[in-house]
Amino acid sequence: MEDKHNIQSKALIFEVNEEDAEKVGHLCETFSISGLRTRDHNSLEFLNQNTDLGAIFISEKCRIDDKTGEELVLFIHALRAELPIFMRLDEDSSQELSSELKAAIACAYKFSDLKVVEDSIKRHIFTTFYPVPLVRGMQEISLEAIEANMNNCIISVDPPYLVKDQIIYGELMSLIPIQSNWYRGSMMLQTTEAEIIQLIENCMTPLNPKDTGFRYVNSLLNEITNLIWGGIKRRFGRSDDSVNESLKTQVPISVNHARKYISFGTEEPQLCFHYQIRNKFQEDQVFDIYQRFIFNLDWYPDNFEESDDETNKLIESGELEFF
Amino acid sequence: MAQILVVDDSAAVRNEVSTFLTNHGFSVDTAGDGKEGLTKIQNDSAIKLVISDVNMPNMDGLTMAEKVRSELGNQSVNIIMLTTESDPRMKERGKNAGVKGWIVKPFKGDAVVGAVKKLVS
Repeated sequence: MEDKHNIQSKALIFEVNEEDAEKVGHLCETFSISGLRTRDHNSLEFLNQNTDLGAIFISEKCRIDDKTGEELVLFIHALRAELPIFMRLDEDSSQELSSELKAAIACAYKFSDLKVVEDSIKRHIFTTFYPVPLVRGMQEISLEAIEANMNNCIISVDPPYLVKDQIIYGELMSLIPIQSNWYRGSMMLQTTEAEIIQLIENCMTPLNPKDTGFRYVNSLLNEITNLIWGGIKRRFGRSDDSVNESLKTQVPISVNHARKYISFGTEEPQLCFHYQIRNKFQEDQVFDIYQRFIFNLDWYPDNFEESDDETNKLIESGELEFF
Repeated sequence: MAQILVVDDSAAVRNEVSTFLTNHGFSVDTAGDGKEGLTKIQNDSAIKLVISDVNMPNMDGLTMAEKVRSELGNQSVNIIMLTTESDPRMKERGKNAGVKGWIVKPFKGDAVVGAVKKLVS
């Protein structure tokens, strides 16, 4: 497995011709943004297929389903308001943007002046600093938790990336608060039900292969969530963590089931990991887990602290400590 | 009548631990939280050992252990915690409640079986 911990993001690129799409793609690369290009110009489908995006890049000249560039921007903004939209104007464009359009986009830019869009990308996507040991640790802990609940499989993980989308992936989701003196937020795991049922039926989990009812399926995701939560608490929590919860603030988490949408009350990008679990004996049997960290209540990475190795050795997982 | 009670809100963990122990010849019962666990300990005098999670809904494992001693007056049943928690303050609370051992998840089946053999025999 490749060990990459530089944080990336994903964006959809809507351009009219290949040459311009290439230029926008190059701009994305300089920011470690993976630019996905629309080739069949079927925007709705393409948008719906991608629910873990960080941004949209679109040309004013783009035309899809009889919609003009401006109409497309307003349409996408109405659907996915949390996504920053970077709108490219033609070099000879002198068009005055409407106030409605200005409100919908993160910025308008031209190829001749990329600084505008570069500053806007920094302001809208890469706003939060995540210490590398934290990101690495979260990934290690999570992999260990998934491996502990899956047999005979190969697990791969993409480099971590930032997501502004608030769309829920799949039908199954677990959510747990995570907190220490220097961070406070939630961790969310999202996956699909049918694939987990297949894993259970194929004896790839600790569950009985006949236990495929939805409560059992949920319990598997919950156990993985619980293991990750415990690992993060051990490794990144602090011994002086306060226990007086009543004095701490909270914000509501809102869910819209019809739109598969979840909001934590913040528009800050979420740190996302994508794990792909493949049946060792049947390689076309694959399922995905998307993991998101949302530090919506407290985030003070300057106070980042990791338990030292000696402490970790003393509490090695799986060993019995007799009292 | 069971020798061992496994208390965990996760069906996956209950099944995994029970299967391990059953394969080693032990009779096992399960409970989904501390409240159910407490009732089963009260009603089944054959239970010699309880393997319990800490974080569970309705009643957590440490509260259950404390109630086994204080409310049921049962000082003889052995209790092991099998949990993601490793906070020394929690372990101290466990010791005070007469908990005999602590295993941090993810667990090794051999560690669980070894502990059970030692405490049940």
